[in-house]
Amino acid sequence: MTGFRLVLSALVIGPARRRPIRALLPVVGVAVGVAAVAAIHHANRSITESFREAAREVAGKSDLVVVGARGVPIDAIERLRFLWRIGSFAPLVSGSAVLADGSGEVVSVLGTDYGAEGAVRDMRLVAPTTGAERARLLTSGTVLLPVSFASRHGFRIGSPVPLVAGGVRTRVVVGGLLELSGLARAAGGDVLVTDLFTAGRLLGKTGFVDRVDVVLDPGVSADAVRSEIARRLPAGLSVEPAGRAALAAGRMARAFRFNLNALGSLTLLVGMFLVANAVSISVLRRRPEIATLRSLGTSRASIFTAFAVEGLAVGAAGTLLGEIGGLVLARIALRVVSGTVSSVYAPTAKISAAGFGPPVLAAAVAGGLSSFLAVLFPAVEATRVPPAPAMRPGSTEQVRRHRSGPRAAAAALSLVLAAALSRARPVAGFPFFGFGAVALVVFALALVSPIAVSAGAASTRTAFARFFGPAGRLATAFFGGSLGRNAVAVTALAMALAMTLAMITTVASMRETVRTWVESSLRADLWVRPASGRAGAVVGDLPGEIVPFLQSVSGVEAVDPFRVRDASDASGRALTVGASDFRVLARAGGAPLMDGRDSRKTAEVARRRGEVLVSEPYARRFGASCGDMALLVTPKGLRSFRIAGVYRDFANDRGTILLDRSLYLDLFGDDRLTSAGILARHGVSSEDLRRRIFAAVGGRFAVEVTTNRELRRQVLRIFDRTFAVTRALEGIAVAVAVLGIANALVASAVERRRSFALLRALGASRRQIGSAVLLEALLTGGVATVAAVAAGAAFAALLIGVINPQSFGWSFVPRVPIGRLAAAASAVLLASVAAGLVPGRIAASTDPAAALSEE
Amino acid sequence: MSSPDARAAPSSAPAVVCERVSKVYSGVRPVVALDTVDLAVSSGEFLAIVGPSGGGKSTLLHLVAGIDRPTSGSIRVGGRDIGALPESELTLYRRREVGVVFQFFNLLPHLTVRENVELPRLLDGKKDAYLRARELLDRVDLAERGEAHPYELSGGEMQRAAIARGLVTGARLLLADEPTGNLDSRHGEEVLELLDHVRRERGVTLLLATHSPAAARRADRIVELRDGRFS
Repeated sequence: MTGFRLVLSALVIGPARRRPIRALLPVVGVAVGVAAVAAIHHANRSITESFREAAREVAGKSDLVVVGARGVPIDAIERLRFLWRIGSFAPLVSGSAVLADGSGEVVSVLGTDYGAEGAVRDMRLVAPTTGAERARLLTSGTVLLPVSFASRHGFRIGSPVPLVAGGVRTRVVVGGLLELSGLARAAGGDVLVTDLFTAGRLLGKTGFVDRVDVVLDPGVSADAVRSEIARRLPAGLSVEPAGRAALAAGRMARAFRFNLNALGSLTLLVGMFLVANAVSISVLRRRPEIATLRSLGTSRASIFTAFAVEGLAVGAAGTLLGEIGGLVLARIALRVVSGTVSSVYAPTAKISAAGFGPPVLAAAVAGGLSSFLAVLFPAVEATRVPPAPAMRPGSTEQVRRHRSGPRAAAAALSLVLAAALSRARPVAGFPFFGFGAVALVVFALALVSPIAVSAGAASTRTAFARFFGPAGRLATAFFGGSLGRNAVAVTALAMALAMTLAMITTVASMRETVRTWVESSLRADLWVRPASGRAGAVVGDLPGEIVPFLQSVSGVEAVDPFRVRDASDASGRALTVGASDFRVLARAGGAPLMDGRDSRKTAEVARRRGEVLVSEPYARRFGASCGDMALLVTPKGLRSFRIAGVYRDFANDRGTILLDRSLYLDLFGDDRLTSAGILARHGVSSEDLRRRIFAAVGGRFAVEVTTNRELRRQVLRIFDRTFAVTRALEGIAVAVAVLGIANALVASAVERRRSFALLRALGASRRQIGSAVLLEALLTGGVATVAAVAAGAAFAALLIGVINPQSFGWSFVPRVPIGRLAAAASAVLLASVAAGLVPGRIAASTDPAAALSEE
Repeated sequence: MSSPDARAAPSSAPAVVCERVSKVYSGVRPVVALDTVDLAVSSGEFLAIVGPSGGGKSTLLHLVAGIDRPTSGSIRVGGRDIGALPESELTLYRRREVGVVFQFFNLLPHLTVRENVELPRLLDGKKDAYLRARELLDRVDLAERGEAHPYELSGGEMQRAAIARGLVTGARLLLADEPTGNLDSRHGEEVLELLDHVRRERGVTLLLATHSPAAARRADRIVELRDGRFS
């Protein structure tokens, strides 16, 4: 033990004490990676938890929940009376509305049965307190508000609350105030609780409730009761465990969270390379000490353990520092992310910070584990240092050069394997093999980096000497001469840049595909949807009578009433059912088919035959194609439809079955609309028609009318907003990598003090040495950029061709945005030169006498 | 061993003149490496500086090489006080007027032997660096080893390459700091032989710091430096 302590002291503790700044650099690298992971994890967890929390408040204590394809008809609730003997149940109507008090805020509307509510959900009335006043709560049009919400908007008992709900302006009266607990906490407390009838009227769901929550007495078998309920329920209704709704809520914004997670992991991966880089450098630097210790009989195990301890210490210190930075970053990340989720994905969602404990733990595990993994290779390398030749400068590089053949072969094998994995199908809807292929490309990149460094140095030697003189010649010698160190720096930067280039290409491909899709699917001249206040997303729906009303407006050629709602297949898998007037579709088009056929003709045929169209995500998720049967649970029971075509759709990743409206009305009996497309009569402009519609609407409906061009812009604005965070994260990943280059170059400059001193002694000027280090940084950035372009192309192909289609069911037409890619690569190149400034200065200021005296 | 008054060169104008040169390394306990030293070396002379380790030999060579500056006193080389030169001119002095051979060879590991030899001339922007390097490598019997890396050479070969590097700029002043200290006796003898030959054929002034009496015996004159003073 004493012996090992001395080894540790000679190799790790002593050097760290002597040069603390040098020891701190890798710690900073890990800290940045850990901070990014902690922040992203925190933001992600907060989103998921906020959705789940809201779902839990609504679900209350329920064990089972009864739901239906169009909700649960109130008369069907009668059949659940038997439950009073073994528990209790409470129906719930839910939806959203917009406050018309000038704030434009979106609120959740929850309709409950006050009598039954207490058994299922917690709801505490603060005011009124007397029995007589409480009796008035049952008056239609009376609502309960959480105290905090009421005080924020200045509402008191008896205050009128103006609303836009179900596409019409209306007004309710505050009857009581609720403590901010239980049900009142749903949607972050922005909630309006009322009786079933009032909620049904506000939301256009008269005669139906959205769910019935069932709470069983202790000891009652949920399975048995579930079977009994299922037996008694009419067709189209089902009973399921209460947790499933929370899970479904968690699925929202899945693509968005996936996006964040992928980039967070990338940042950590780059951080991992930084640790490997730092330990590699320390092994290189301490080869003479290792050789001396080995010659004195120190075992390989002791050498390995000493460096492993160092790596772990760097990981632990970096993790600690990163956790502190993560707390600050997390607040910023959450603010950015929650704004996007609330305004784009779920208008009523209120994202609040979830406990920071799990993200701290996750980041700590990630930081510690990645540091340990990163240290393995260089620590093993340290054990292989031979006692005698290691005293000779440059021996490591000599050894590595000899390994370039096997490295190239292993890299080629990795790429072949990656190509093979990219052809494999997803496992349970997750592209495991696609990610495996990405990992193999990363591995190939790491393997090929030393070869790229050698080739880069050799190919630029003449040109650099010609253009930059002695400094250029020195730079290529430095660059090619420090293979180990430069290869790790090149790998880290190339990986971050490659992923950034791939993301830019993927996002550009998605955007272009979405733009084309918008153009081919948005064929109407105008869109009418319920007024949504401040929200960007659709809030509520429109009454069915708006269809004949719109048809009667002068200048309207045709109206396409569009309806979307949640549905499920025979095995309860969630999907979306959509309804559109196929006659309008047959006239104007608007569902671009994947196989290139004319969607107008297909829609006409489908309408006549009672067939359906399905979206691309549906086809991928359910393994269906044209001519197959699509299964759908309807209020009239399970129905199957022949698929007439598969259309491109980016509206959701669950998959949509699109029915002709007449078929939908027949099966669902739901005449409400989510929005309506309007075709203008020939010669009538969109703007003119919009004015006519507003004039005709008067106060009858509360709608927003959007022109085709505005809607296209809106779609692309939402798209850009969703991916704004991606850009910020790309920036972080590249910044971490550039920090890695700076770290490597600073360490390298410090390590090469004697070389610089010698150069100064031989007559090299400070400028020549500083320029050589800057040019070396340029070479590092340049070779990394070339490697990144190749790896980025592979990443982009995997993201666009494998991971995205397998994850979300979306396929994209590849598009290479040369300008943006060149800008990103140039920025990285510039940043890497900037990263050479400090080490350049360190190198130039080397005191030759002091450095040479050290011998 | 020569007497103290033999420190003055016997004939011709001195190439190097040190007057009352001191070098003190500051610190909690300042160390006096050189204590008011006077020395004159004639053009073309071979001077051996002997003395125990820590006596100030390397410090004196570093000062003459322009790698370090004296704390006080003046060092004139070719009539110029190099201690008073601005940094840019001192750099040019090191580049053009002096060659240094170190005990540990100090070849840059990532450059080939030829590139190492070319380096000082390349730093000066001279186009003939390649030809001069080939010529000098030939002169030191390393013509065949030019494209090898330093780690592929023996100690003697590395030191011969370092001598070629010291001569490549055409400098007339060559400083050798324990050039045989890291070599076995046979290779040490070869290196000394080479130094002596090249300084004769090129008229180079040679200052050799050494522990080795055998090496010192080759010199025209020997001085002993002990505790920062000539004895």
